[in-house]
Amino acid sequence: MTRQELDKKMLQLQQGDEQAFEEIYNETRRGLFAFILSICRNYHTAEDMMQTAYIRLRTTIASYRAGSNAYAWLYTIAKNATLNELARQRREAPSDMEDPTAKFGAYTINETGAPTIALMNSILNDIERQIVTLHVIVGFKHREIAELLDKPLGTVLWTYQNALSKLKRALQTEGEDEA
Amino acid sequence: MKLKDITEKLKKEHGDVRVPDVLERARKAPVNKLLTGETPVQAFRKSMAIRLLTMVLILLLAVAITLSAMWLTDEARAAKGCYVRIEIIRSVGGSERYAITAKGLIADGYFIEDVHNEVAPKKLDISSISELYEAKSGDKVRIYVACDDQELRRQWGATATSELGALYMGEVSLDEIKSSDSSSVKFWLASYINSFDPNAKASVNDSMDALLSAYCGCAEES
Repeated sequence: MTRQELDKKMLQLQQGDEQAFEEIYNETRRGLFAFILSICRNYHTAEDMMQTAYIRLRTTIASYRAGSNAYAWLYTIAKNATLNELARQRREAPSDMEDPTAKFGAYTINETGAPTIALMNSILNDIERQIVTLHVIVGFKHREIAELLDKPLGTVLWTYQNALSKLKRALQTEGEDEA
Repeated sequence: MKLKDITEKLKKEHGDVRVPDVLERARKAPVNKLLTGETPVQAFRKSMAIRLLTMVLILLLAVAITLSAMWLTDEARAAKGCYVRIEIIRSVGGSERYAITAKGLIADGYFIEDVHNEVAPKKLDISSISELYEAKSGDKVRIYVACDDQELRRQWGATATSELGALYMGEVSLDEIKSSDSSSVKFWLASYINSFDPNAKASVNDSMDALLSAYCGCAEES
């Protein structure tokens, strides 16, 4: 779904069109889930945050302005919800009871079936993961990522290239080790 | 390895990740209904409205059951005849007797049964008793209630006691004696009916309704 098409659906949802919500949901849920997962790195938290994001989309749809970047609007909602949730979890969890999987950045999805994702989570930092996910998986342009993450375009480009280089080196090292 | 190969791998692996269907989950779990379009306020109002509606329906049902039960009971009671006998025992000697006949809770006749040893069936209002009977200190007023229905008996006992108590408070002592199918009450009734009309042949073995019917009949003839 193009940016213009999503914008049109948002306006239809604003008018109370239930079908429009289903279409927005079906078109955006895979990319949004990947993005949330790249922030929180926990499947169940990502699932809850995805639900929260869509609830907020519905409850705040009246504030959506025609012609806005609908994708950026939705992803900003999801990012804020997830960061708030992570902050809440950090506040409430005692330091000696931290989830070790979160600490080491492991996915709770099947890592054996997704070795590159597992590698990305183990060697890339938060911002690198988010940029790579948004560009490669979701298909955002670097300019859109810069706008969404509130970073200069140059920083996004440099971070993206750097992240991929890191992955490349790690994969090459893995290949050499196996050989 | 080219960078493009890495991005392709990432795309492919992400394509294999099972994405949770939170909308479907919301449809199944009522707690997640917000996702189906309800704002928190709407959800709250809706659940409150359902609760209130349920409570109102239960209340209406309870009221309907109670009213119909009361209506049925009143209908049943309305068919029951009651006899209230007021006996005044003078402190200076002698006695006077008044009576009320009723269908259910509605009085349909007031009678002087025996005044100054005269058999004088006559209708009067209960408030008229005060015109006929001048209370003297030390007089005793006994109230007998004959009625097959226990609740009617209780209510008539209370009504007569209350009305006479208001008329003669402080002057007389009131005894409320409730009697269901008392043979003595029936005896009084039968005696009274027979003394008024020797051909009536009323008996204590007659039912209360039959005696009251004859009683009211002979009074109306007078």
